[in-house]
Order: sequence, then C-alpha cells, then structure tokens
Amino acid sequence: MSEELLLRRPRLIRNCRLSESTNQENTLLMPEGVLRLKGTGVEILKLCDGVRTLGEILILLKQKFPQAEPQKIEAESVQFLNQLREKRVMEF
Amino acid sequence: MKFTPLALIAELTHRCPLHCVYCSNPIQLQKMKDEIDTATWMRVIDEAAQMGIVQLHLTGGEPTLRDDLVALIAHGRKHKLYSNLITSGVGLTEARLREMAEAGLDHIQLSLQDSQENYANEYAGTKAHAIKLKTAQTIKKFSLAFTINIVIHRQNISRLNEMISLGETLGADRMEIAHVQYYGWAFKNRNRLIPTSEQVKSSMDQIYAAKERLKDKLRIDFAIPDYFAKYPKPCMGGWGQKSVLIDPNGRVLPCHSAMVIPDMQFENIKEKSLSEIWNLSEAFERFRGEAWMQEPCSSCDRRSKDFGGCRCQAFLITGDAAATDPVCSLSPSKHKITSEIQSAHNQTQEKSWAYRKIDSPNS
Repeated sequence: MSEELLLRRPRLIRNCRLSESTNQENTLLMPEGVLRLKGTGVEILKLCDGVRTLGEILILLKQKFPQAEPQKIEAESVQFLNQLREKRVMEF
Repeated sequence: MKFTPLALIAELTHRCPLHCVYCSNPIQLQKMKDEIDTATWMRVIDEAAQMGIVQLHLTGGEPTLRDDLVALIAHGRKHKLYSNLITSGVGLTEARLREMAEAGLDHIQLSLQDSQENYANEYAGTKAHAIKLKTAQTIKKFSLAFTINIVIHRQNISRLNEMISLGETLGADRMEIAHVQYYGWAFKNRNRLIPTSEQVKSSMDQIYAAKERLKDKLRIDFAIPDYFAKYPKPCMGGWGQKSVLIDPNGRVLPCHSAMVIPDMQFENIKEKSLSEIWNLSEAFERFRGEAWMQEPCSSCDRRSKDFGGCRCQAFLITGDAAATDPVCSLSPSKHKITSEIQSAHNQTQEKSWAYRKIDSPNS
C-alpha cells in the first residue's frame, strides 16, 4: 500500500449517511436508495470522518480486532473502501 | 412472504405552480380541500418509522406549498429518517430553505426542464426557469446534498450536453437524468415526447461520456428509456415490496401511477394504519410474489429480477394489468410499443401540448 494512500482521509460523500435507527445500524442512506453493509463495514465507516487518515483508521481497526490477522484487516478494509468509492458514496 | 418497505413517498399535494407536459401525477389531480391534514401526516411518519422505513421522500405537486412542510421534515428527522425534498424550486425562499435545513432535511432535488429558458418555460407551461436558477444559487448557501433532476424527451434531447454543463455550473452534487416515463400527463403527450431510437442511442453515448468526464465531480444517474429497452425495469423494486406512496388525499398506493388500474380498491390512511394496509390490503397483495404472473413471465428466468416489469404500463398498453410489461422483447404485445414509437414519429402535424392542470379553478 502506498504512503500517499495512507495519508488520505476517507469520508462519506455529502448526500450519504449511516442510519441512526437502532435496528438499522448497518444501513447506508442516500437519495436513490440504501446500501446494507455486511460484517464489520459499519465499524470501518464510523471511523471514516474525513479527519482521520486511512493509516490511522487501519491502526484503530487493528486495535479493535486484535484476534484478526493485521494484514487481512488492511487488505479487506481497503478493498471495502475502494468498493464504496467506486459506488460514489465515499471519497478519498 | 413478508415485505418491509424502505421508503415512504409522501405526495403532499397536487398543487403546483408548474404545468409540465410530462408530469407523472395522475390526470385526475386532487384538490387542496381534500388534502389530508398535518396530524395525519405526522401519524403516517410515526407508523412508517415503526415499520422500519428509513427514507422519506417529500414530493407533490409542489411540496413547499404545504405550510406544514418544515414540521414534517422535523418529525421525520426525529424518527431518524433520511429526508429528501423533490421541488420545482419556485416560491422557495432562503428563509424557508434555512428552516428546512435546520429541521434536518438531508437532500434536495431541484427539477429543471431544459438548459434554455424559452424551451424550459414551454415544457413547464410557465415562466419558471429563471426562478429555478436563482433557487439553485440559494440552495448552495446551505450544506444540503443537492441533486438536479432533468427529464429528457424528443424535444430537448439535442441539448443534453448543455443541460449537463448547466448542472455542473450550478454546483449540483448529483444529476438525475431520466427519459420520460409514459404515465400520467406524459402518456397523454407521448406523441410529442417519444424520441427516435437514434436520439436514444446518442443520449446514452453522451451520458456515458459525461459520467466519465465528471466522475470526480458530479455523479450522474441515468434512467434507461424502457420503450427502447430489451427487458422491462424492475418497476418500484417490485409491487408492494420496497416503497409505499401516499397521495394528497390519503390513498395508500404501491406507486404514483397505480390509480390508472381499474377494479383496484386502494385503502385510505384516514381509515387504517399504514402497516395494516401494507401487510393486509388486497391491492398490495395483488401483484406481490409470482402467483399472478402470466406467460412468458411465469416461467422466465428474469422474473425474480424485474418482477414482470410495470403493472401500470401493462395496463395502459395491453389493457391487462397482469400481462407481461409490453416493453419486454418477450412480450406478445411488444409490437404495440413499436407502433407507439412509429405513430409518434409519423405525425406530420403535431398537436399542441396538454398542460397539467387541476380541472377546477376553485381548487
């Protein structure tokens, strides 16, 4: 992973936010529909506030999931964020 | 099978300062005196949130004509709904926009009819274009997510690139560019609206090029014109599966156009709860699942993807609401769509527009 990528600050695009309803926490809301997030997607997104860098986010995730393999966390998180970027709901 | 709706489409009023020739509202527009009151809309929002609905689309007519709009936005926000206002932008002041933003509005969709004022005003049946451009500037003063909606058709499609540039200049986050769907007033005006297949093809090329060119700046969502498609759209994500619409006088519908289907009894929110109507009413049950389907849908591999297409279109073109959507290349009625397209282009002497209006001046 490039240094430059680790310094970027991912955030949701403006018209997109996570649901705050207690039974819908894994739902990303946007004008044209919703996106249901699987697994740890919500945990990753909650850290993407446009202030933290990707590097910082990965460190926090590794602390949060100490039982998981660090390299796997990195690879899967970056893949997940890239997918959201391709769907134009996240920018970094 | 139990379905949970995601979106409530609140058609707050049919009143509108515009008279668009392709308006998707029904021909029989409802009057102000028949509109449901604020308390009823508040209850609807309570019930929607309890059912698990996450999106509130505030539309019309022109929803800003309702005095209680800000209160409804605030109420939706209280229930943590994502709220989306779909507006013509006419009569929308900065003060009102501020109130809406403060009440928690998430997203605003502003309609434009064309890039050029004279054409835009012709399709809207009123001098609205200049006002809309001003409203767009006002919207940009707030941190609202901002989409510009443009409907394209035979008359304006040649200015597609110009319209995209306008959206870019006005600072939209997103544009929704949709070919006319032939329901309501658009069905009435279809002979002047249906594009040629060359126009459709060229519009798709232009859209894909613009999407690529603007990908880091402006998101463009494009609705494929289904008269020219091979397969139908999964209309509303399936009848009674994802969305529920309440019209100005409280009728609960699976879509904005369902009233065209005869012999259907749509229940009214004034008399029953939203969940009762959604879960138990005959109208919502009627085209759920697959039991109602006819051939070629009932044995088709695509039936779980497109749900047989649109029931309203099936009725409008074939006279049978349970038929395969006639835009489907597998439909025995596909020729009816082909002849709709041909007859639209064979008319040498074009008739004049049928402008959207509420029939009584006392409304």
